[in-house]
This record gives sequence, C-alpha cells and structure tokens, in this order.
Amino acid sequence: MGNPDSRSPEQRWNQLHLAESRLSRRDLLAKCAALGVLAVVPSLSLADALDAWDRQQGRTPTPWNELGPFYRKGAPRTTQLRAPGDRGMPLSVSGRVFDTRGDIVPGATLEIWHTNDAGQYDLSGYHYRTSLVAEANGSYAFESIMPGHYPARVCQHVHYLVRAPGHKLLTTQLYFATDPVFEGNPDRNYTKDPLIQSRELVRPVALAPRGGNVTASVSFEVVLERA
Amino acid sequence: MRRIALTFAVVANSATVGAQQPSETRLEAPSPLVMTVLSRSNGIVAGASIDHKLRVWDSRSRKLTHTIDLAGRDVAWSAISDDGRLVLVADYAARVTIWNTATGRVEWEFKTPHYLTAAAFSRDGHLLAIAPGTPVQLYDVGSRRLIRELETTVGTTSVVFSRNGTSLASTDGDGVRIYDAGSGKLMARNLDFVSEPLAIDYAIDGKTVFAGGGDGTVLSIDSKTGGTIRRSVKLTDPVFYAETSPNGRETAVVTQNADDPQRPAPVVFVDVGSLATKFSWASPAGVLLPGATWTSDGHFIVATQTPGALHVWTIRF
Repeated sequence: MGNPDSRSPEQRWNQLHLAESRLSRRDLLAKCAALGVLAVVPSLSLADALDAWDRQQGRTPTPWNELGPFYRKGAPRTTQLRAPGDRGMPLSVSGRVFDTRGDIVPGATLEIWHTNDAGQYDLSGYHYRTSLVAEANGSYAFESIMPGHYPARVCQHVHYLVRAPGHKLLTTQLYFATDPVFEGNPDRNYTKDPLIQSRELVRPVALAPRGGNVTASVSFEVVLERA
Repeated sequence: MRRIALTFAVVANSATVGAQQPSETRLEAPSPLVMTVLSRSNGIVAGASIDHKLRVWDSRSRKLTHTIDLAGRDVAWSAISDDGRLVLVADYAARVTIWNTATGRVEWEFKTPHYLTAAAFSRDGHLLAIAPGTPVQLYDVGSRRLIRELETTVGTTSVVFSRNGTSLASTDGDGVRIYDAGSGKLMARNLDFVSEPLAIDYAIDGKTVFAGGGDGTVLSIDSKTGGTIRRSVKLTDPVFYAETSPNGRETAVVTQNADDPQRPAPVVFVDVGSLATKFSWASPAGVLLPGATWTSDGHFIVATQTPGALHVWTIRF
C-alpha cells in the first residue's frame, strides 16, 4: 500500500483544482468523486448528479478542431465500425449530445471517422466511417478499433462532425489519454500535438476484459452551441 | 499552405514530358522546414522551420535575407502575396502575423477564433481571405479592416480569389462554394464531391473553377451555376493544391501520398479543357513542401528539401 494521504479534503481539492484547471468542470467533478473529495447520496448516480449540476450551471461548448483532409460524405449509419479480424485494440466510444444549457439534443447527426490500426484512412470506401443519429436521450455509441497514428499527425484521433437543427455545426476530434505521445501525462504533454488546443478533447481510457480480449472504452460527450 | 510532416525521403523517378527539364535553385536551409511559400513574382521564398524561425530568401540571388524569430509558435498555415512583399503566418494558438519581407518587420497582427485552415491574398494584394474555423473572413489589407464574413461552411480547406478579385471560391466538407467577393453573396455551389475537396483555383477568365480533393479527382465547375462540367480520371494520390497557368492552358495539380505524406507524390499538369493529364513531374531530390505556384512569367515553381538545403525547382514551358 502507498502512504496514506494526510491532506485535508480542502488541500486535496485545491491541489486538484490547480493541477487540473484545464479539465472541464464535469471531468474535474468526476475526478473529485473518484478521489472521495465529492460525495453523492446513494439514491443518485454520479452521472445523474453531474447532469443535474450541468443543467443548473450550463455547459461549455465542445472545443473546435479542424475537419481534417479526408472527410467523406455519405457514410453508412452503423454502430459497428470494426469488422471481424480487424487489427487493433477493440474500442467502444459512447457519449451524449447536449447544448450549452445542459439540455439533451436528440436527433443530432454525428459523422465519425478515423484511421485503421496502421494509421491509414479509407479514401475509397467507408471503413471506420459512420453517420450516427443521437437517441432520444441524446446518447450515441459505436464499436471500433483504436486508430493508429496517421503519419502527418502527432496523436491518434477520431474525427467528429456534428449537426443538429438550431445549433451551430461542430467539427472536433477525440484524443486518447493513453496515446504514447503523452508519455502517461496528458495534462502536461497534450500540447505535443499542436492541434490539441484544449485538454478537454483528450479523454481517459478504461480497459475492460471482454470475450477473452481487452477493450478500450472512452466516453466523449458533445456540447453544441445554439445557433 | 498547410504544414506537412517533416521529411527527407528521396524520389526515385522523375518524369517530365512536354516541358523542359526543370532547373534547380538550391538555398541554404539551416533547419528543417515545415512549410514554404513562393511568390509569383520577385523570387521571394519564405519558410518556417522546426527551430521556430521564419526565413526569407531571395531565390534570384540565392541569399537568405531575413531570419525572424517565431518565439516558439507552431505554424498552422502560411500565405504570400503575389509580389512576395507580405508573408502571412498563422499559428495553432490562433494568432495571425503578416510580415513585410523587405524589412522583416511585422506589418499586422491579429487573433482569430481558431487557428486557420486556409488563407489567400487576392492577386493584387488588396484583399485577404482567411478560414479561422468559423465562416471565411474577408479583410481589406490596406485598412486592416474586416470587411465581411461569408456563410458558415463545413470546415473550409482552401480559398482562392479569381484573377480580377471580384469572385472568391472555397472548398469545404460539403463541396465548393463560389461567392461574389464584393457583396459576399453566395453565387453558386457544387456538391458533387464525395471526398472532401482540398484545393481550388479559377480559370484565368473566371468562368470555370478547378477543384480537387481526397479522392484524387479534379472537377471543372461552371462558376456561374456551380454545375460540374467535367471530371478527371482518378489520380493516384489526393489533390492538395491546384493552380491554373497564366496562359490558361494547364492546371497544375499537386498531390500528396495519403497513407504517408513522407512518400513521394507527383505534380500532375492537366489540360484545362479535357482535364486529361498532359504530363507529371516528380522531384528527383526530396518530397514536395507545401507552397508551389505558377510564376507571373509562366513557369511552375515548387520546393523540396534535403538535409541543410531547400530546393526550388522551376519547370519551364
């Protein structure tokens, strides 16, 4: 066992807040809950509590990132981007679409694409490309593989193009905290990719066993600005 | 010009059919370059390097004329005026700086909502179009004033003015848009691309635009209606830059290997009428850097690099 933490909750909060000031409020609160600095009554899930908080406080829009040079229109609507036998670590991505008031945005269209395990885009077809529609509760999810490193870019990434009536169009990219480029410290090293102008786009990765393999899971919530 | 991954790969084959063998101007480059821009007249070359310096050369005298400290800024996009007097450098922190290449001094600096994904001066240097993640913005260079914002696009990838500056065309995830530069009014759209178009230029009379993109095809488009006139055969690599020759006969199409930009890809010269390939050229030394252009006297110039050197190739017609 490691040394017990002798700091008071206030000291831990202050240190956390200073160190993680570039995280979104939601990420910060989730970390606080994990560290025991923030407690939620048993009758309420952490996710529901954070949602309620966001509805009260509003949300900041998901940071912009460029569309990237290999977008293709007309991707099929599929939640299964991974084909049998595909190389690469299985990846599950899920999240919800909100607006800046914290309200769910049902029916948003999320066009998502990324490279294969070798860092190559499919330029003639739709492998690792999908066009999803957010459910009534704003949720979306897909199964894929962890993308490789595209040679002209620094970090592994997944492209998003999100549209919803009455909201500003969003282009952004999802990054992985486990990317070797970050050397285990995305807080310090996320700017190694100059395109990452916000730490918020670098998402924690949870590894879980599934069917004899290990699957990486990532949550990526999207917050749209009203038009 | 967008920056590229650093590379020193050597192209094995060079093929130039229908033009004279290119001549080479070798410039000393003390640090590897991530971008270059070449002026259409006066022989000005500017390049940003991994040592965060912007260097300006006079390619006619082969002299390095200015070394400008970029103070650690990472370059997202660059552009140069036709006469080479102004060089624009945009960084990922959304700061845009325009230097006077004669003096090496900052002429103008401003912040944008996001970093630039495209920028171009008008041919006379009076207008500047930039794509800062939001709608394309038009500036008057003389007064340094924002004139107008165009309609929102799905991620602008290139912008260009017509030769006389009255029209502006852009590419984005949806396709091609053509605007009246004076009013900002959208005049025509073309949605015939499936893969995002990345490069665009006008014919010299402005009646047609040529656009190419991720799927390696080039479309000629009626700039009045937006309708597709013709589609080229699929090239081997995606199209990252296109520019029509001053005599109006060819469009130079700069391609880039999609799987690895460090691998060679040719410049393809297509006939503006048929879009048939007239000839292609691959560098004998180094992979293409961004920043090719036609010179005002009708030659095509393009840059490559090898360790310690920037090579400017002139393809004469």
